[in-house]
Amino acid sequence: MEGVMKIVIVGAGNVGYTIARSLSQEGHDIVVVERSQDVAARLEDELDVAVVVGNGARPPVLERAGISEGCDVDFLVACTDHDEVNIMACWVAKRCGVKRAISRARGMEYTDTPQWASFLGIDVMNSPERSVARDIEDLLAVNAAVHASELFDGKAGSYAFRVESTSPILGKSLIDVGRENPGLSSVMVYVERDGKGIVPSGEWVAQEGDLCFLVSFRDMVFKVQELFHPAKGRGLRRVMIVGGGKLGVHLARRLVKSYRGIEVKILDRNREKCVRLAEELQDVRVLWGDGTDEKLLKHEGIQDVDGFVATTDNDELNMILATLGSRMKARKTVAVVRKEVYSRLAESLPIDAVVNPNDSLASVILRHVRYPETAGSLSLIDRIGAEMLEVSIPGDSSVVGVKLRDLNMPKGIILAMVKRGEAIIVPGGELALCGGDVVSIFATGDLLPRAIRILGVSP
Amino acid sequence: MRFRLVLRVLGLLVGIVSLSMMWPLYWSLSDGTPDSGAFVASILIGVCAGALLFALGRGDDYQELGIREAFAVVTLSWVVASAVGALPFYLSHSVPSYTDGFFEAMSGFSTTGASILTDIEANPRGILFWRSLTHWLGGMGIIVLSLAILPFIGVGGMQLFKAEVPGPTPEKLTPRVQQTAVLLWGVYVFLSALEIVALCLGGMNIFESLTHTFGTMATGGFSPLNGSIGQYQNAYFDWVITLFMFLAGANFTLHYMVLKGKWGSFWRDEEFRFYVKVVLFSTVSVALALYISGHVSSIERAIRDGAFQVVSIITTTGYATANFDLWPFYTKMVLFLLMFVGGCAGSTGGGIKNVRIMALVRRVGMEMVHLLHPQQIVRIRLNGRVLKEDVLASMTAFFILYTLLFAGFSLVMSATGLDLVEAMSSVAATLGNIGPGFGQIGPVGNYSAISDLGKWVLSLCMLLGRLEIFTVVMLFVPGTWRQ
Repeated sequence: MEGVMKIVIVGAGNVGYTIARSLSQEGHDIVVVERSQDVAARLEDELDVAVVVGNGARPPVLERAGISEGCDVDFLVACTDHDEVNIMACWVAKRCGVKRAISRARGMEYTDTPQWASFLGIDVMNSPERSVARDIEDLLAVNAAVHASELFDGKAGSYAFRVESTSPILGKSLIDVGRENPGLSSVMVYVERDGKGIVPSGEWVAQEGDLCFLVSFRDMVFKVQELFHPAKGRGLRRVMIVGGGKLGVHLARRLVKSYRGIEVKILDRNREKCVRLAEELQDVRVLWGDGTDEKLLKHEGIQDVDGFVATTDNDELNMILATLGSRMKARKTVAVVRKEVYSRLAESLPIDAVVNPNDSLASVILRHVRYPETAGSLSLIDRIGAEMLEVSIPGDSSVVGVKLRDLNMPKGIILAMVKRGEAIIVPGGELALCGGDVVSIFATGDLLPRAIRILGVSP
Repeated sequence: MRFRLVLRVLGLLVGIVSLSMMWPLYWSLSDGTPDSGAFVASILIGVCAGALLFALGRGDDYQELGIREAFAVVTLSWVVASAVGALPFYLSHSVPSYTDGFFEAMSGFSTTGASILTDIEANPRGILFWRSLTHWLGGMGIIVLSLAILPFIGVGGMQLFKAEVPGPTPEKLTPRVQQTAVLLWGVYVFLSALEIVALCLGGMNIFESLTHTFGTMATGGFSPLNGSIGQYQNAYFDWVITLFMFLAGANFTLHYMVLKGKWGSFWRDEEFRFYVKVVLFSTVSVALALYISGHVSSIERAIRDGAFQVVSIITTTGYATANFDLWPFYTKMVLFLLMFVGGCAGSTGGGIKNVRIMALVRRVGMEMVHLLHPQQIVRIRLNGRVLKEDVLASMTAFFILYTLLFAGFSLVMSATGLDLVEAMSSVAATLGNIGPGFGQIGPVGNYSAISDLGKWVLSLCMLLGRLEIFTVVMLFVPGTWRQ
């Protein structure tokens, strides 16, 4: 590892913990500031990091973590549950000369426009609920997908589909598929078969149970879906959301905004919260009740919904809710699961898709820490240990003008899409990169830094 | 209750009302008619009474004007203003009794426009001008006027403002209530000036332009002519007055926004859209009924008369270009129902107000949703904002009280000898501050034949309607008077 960085993380919740673990494993020096004595103790036991107990918004506490006038801390990552604490910590850090400050923003008002971050002097402010809601919306729309995340501001995306016994693609090689569907520009980047990963070549033949990760244009993805699930395409007309937290509310807002005439129902068991939601949300049916109340679900027509999303704060409950939803014939069920252990477990349940908001925030933060020089988004596809990153090719890079087939990219690295100006291209071997192109790179294992080096994106 | 404070504010108000009689005095002096003596006497009596009240009320601080005092001040000042305003009518013998004078003055200040005068044109111009001027003073509100010109009523001003301005939730345009009052009166004067110019351009003389403008902008309805606007038989006047009645029935806050350059304000306001729809629908249906039944010969006339009468009634003005009492039953029913709708919140019109009707209709819709989805939490929105439960509850209470008062007073009026249609329409027309009803109190008739008891009852209806019931009713609740 070149260049060990000094990183202070404020808040050791799920996100803080994940980041601290990843970064400390990469060899960086991590100091975690945590208010709770117990959490701090556990952290010290489990991870190789220093822990300071105290309120991260107080300068003396931050000073103990190494943040004082003229310090050499590279990063401050504030990811407590309180925006005020996060903003204060970032502000103090920037005053003390910390190079970059990243803050989680629970109040989505802060991230509605990028200017708030700059007003507050924070380098990056991120609300994971925003990108997760977008991913869930995508999962509901592309309803056969078990994974979805966006690329190039939503113009394209990476999706995962499972091959089933009825899939038209079954038994066909990629070459066959390409010949039969000449207009289809989509790149299959990775296939998971029997728990092992393959980077598919042209001769790869689809088998039942394969989980295929591919990158496609947003408006092309429904055609791709046809290859896996021919009967599933239908507009989004009715969605039921359980849990009126930030994520549920944001999702409801997005759905109402992007689909005309959609009927969105949101369920919560806290009456005061329901009253508040009813005041906040227009054109959304707010229901007060328990998501596990079968009678209520039936009365509100769960058997006819196109999507059933469990977004409560409780992972276990979400998994049960999504299972219940599937049993009650909801067309697609999505569970929000924050603990990593459960993400795998959810696969053995009849749940169509699982999303993890903490992953989403962690990936944003890790991208800024690992690849501060790149502009685009980073997606962690944790289950297969792969990363997807958008990088911009500098004009003076050595790869400019070189055909892709001559780049000698190691196996495991795929240049999935190239954005040139406004156009997005699925690159073939003959394509030569230009300066200013934005490339989305898919890389397994720890190949991403190598890919970045080859592409000449200055570290 | 701080009685001294109430007395002092009342004293000031009586002074303002009395001094405003200088303007009709000017007309009567320039005409040399005998009513000038009545005006001089009224001014003297009024100023003395005002000074006396003011003197009696020394001692209390204006800052302590609370909600109780506000109810008392506002209600009593309308009563006292009418009592003083009745003097010129009484002293000049334009009316046969003080009861009639009080009825006429209350009808003027409350912008009702119900008259007991049988031959209007027989009266001197000073008296006719005073009649119309009471409209104009009462239209935007005598309390709002005093807030605008008396700088010292500070903290308690908002209570007064709320108690007088119509609508469920009066809002301040600016942080200071005095400035809001000034702006509202400014918009009112500006629109009035526009109408005067428009009428003068059409060839109406200055006296009639002024009086008709007062009647229009205040949504009052007094005209110095026996035949109201219909006497002119002039399409231009009809349309100009229709337009200004329509504007007077809209929220003055919206006028202010538009004058400030926010043109979209009208269309963004849900209540205004509702108001426009009700007016359009009623106009079309009345015009069609008139044309099909053969009451008017041309389609132009049907639309003009229909529009004029619909706007006149819904804004609670009460001008007439035709004797709608002779119209088909259907059109009369439309007009009768419009008497209950009234203008918009924050307008000079009376009635239940469009915003309340809208909110209550939505409340009914909410009930239906609730039956279908028992677990759903429903909120009613107006202009994108959620209506608070307590506002909704007070709207419901208002509606119920309005209906009950209508029923109760109709009963009383029928006991004084009116027939069913007259009893009901007299109460609807005074409680809604419209003016003409149907039958002998219709557009070509008047209220002179009604018994003295009936006149007092209807005067009370006008006061209740103008102050939106609760302000007045609170005075009859014992708790208001206790400390």
